[in-house]
Amino acid sequence: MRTKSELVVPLRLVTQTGLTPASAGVRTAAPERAAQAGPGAERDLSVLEPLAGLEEAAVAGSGGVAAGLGLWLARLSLKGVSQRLVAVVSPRAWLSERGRLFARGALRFGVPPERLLVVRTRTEADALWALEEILRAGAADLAIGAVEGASLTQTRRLDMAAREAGSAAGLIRVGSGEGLSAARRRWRVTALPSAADPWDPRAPGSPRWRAELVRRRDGPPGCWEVEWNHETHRLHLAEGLAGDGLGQTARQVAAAG
Amino acid sequence: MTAWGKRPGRSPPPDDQPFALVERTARGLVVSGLNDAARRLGLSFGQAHADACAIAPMLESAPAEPEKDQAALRRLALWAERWTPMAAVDDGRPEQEGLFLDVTGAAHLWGGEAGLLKDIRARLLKAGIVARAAMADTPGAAWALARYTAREDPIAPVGETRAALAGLPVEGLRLSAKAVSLLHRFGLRRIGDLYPLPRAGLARRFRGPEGLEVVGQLDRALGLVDEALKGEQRPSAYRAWQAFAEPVTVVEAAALRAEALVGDLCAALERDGQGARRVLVTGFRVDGRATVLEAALGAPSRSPKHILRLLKEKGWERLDLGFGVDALMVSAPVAEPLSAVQTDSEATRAEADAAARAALVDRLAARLGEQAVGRPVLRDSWLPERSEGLAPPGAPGAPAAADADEDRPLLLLDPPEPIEATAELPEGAPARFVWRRVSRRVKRFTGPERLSPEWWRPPAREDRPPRTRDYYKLEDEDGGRWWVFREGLYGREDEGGRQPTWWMHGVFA
Repeated sequence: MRTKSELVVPLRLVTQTGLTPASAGVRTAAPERAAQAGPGAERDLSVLEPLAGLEEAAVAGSGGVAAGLGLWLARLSLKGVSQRLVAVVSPRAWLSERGRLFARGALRFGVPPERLLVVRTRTEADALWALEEILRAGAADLAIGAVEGASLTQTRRLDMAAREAGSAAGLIRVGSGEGLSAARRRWRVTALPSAADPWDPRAPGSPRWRAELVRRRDGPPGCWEVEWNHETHRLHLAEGLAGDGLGQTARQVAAAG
Repeated sequence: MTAWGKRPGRSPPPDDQPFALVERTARGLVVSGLNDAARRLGLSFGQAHADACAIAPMLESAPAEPEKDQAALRRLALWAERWTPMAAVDDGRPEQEGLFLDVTGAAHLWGGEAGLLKDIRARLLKAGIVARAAMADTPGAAWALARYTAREDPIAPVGETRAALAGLPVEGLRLSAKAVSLLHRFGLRRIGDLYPLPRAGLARRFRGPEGLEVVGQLDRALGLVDEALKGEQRPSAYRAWQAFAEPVTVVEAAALRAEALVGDLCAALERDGQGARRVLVTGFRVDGRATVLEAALGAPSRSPKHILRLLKEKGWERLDLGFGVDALMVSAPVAEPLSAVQTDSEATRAEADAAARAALVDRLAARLGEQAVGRPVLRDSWLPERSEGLAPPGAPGAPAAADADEDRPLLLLDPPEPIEATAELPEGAPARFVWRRVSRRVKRFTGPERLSPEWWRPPAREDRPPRTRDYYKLEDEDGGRWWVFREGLYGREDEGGRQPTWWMHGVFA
């Protein structure tokens, strides 16, 4: 644990003093939005853009896995329109435990079945091999792996393959996500209660998530609360209604942090 | 050419020991195979085993295993592909088994026809099989020459089949026992005796099918009627082949040579604008068997790098070299036209992308299995678990009937898991449910969405007809979004004591 924190701190210092993330200045609306943001919730969505390299999402439980997967598909929309593959790799044992990818559900996130490549392996080692193969082929925009026990070396290999191909690689891990990893960004994703459906106050509305950036090589960590609009296929910041959604959760974050 | 003595743990009997294979038939035990010593004692096929024992009391016998003999012959046919792409098993008559090789255009590779026959017999002998070989214009003539001439390696020169067959007994025409005995009764003992007879009269002379049989087989032997051979394998148009001076026993060495052959194969494919859909690596073992490594491709390809990678994923160690292989062949039994791809043009970028995708899927399927990789396909079904499947990599895509407005979960639990739900109203949404021992309170819900059973499909279980499902999307206090359904309708579908039950079917993002 000790060595790890020592690893992270100098990097953070470097980025804060000199090298701001290249994409940070792109969104001009960011500063004024930041003014009205609650404490702990970041307003700049450009960090959510998938980058060429390995990222990791730690999720809790079965509901969390779907949230992690959904946020990843949603983040893909930030990169613009593409027809390249989205690969989802998982060991078979994982499928029966967490559920299998439902293409009709992915369609709500703007990913048609033609773009999907589903790989179901027998072992975790096979899943990691398949992930690396997919990344090296350079045919995929995003390769998501549901692999719980990837070692530091394995994550480093994945990161390298992803960077060379210019594709995004994602690992979904159930649990705290504290193990050693070479991922460039490590997220903690949780589902948030949705705002009410505008047409039916009792019904759940658009999905909302909290994405906490726990560790990051290229900038400071942060926390985003986002919502997916399945009609416009856009990921945007969750705007709180009075006494609901953002305001409350932001206060919780502030209290916790 | 039977498989006896080739079976593991059993050695052939010594030459001077009479030996017979016996088969159980309706007439009791019958002799179905003999060695030379037994033949010299006057034993014959089809004889009752008791009679044979009376003639030769020292006769040793073993039960015949015709299926294994067949399998051995088939293996041998695969192995015979070393001489020609077209090798067929002739299993018409018991104790007359053999192989037909169509060596049209192949003989010169072996130093002419005589050289080829010599090579065939020498290699079979090395593999422990005593064989006779003959060559003629037609399969029928070769069959007769191989079995009814005293000479070694008889060859009927091109166009002289008639003369070559004239002196052979009529048995050489592959006739039934009845037809042979009829011919003998007329004093027609040699094939040449049949030549001067008028064909119409010959056919009419025998009542029944035998007349036609004699004429038909004579025509086939003389090449007046074509006889098609049914090969063990579809002959492949593209093959690269190499024979070794010394048998190769190490897989790595064999792989190295196969790599060079794949290059040759791909060069031939490129010349003709073809791409392979299936690639076979065949090792011809010294013991008369062939070992095969096969790779299938989702899209035609002639890239040596890609094909080699697939073969490597399949595993070179699957080539069972045994005591060594003395020849290797790489062939493409299935090839399809593949136009040359120009990769640096903008218009063909998408095509190159598709090719990269196909190559990737091939590699994944080669190592993980065809079932493990696929693209989801939507099917027209109301039941969620039936409405989607995985299409194998190479399959063409069917138009998907998907409605993006349907709110469907991202992860589907298949099969659904039972939950305990408490609803305020029997027909209403649950207010609280327990799934995997965690109790959750429902904050928001939407539904029901009613899915009727598909009555036009046969039910999975006769005694439990499918019931109506009412689906709800629920959101709990922590923001978890769930897809649950109640199976059965209160008061209407609870016949037979089955109460409506609640199930967890999916998780929304």
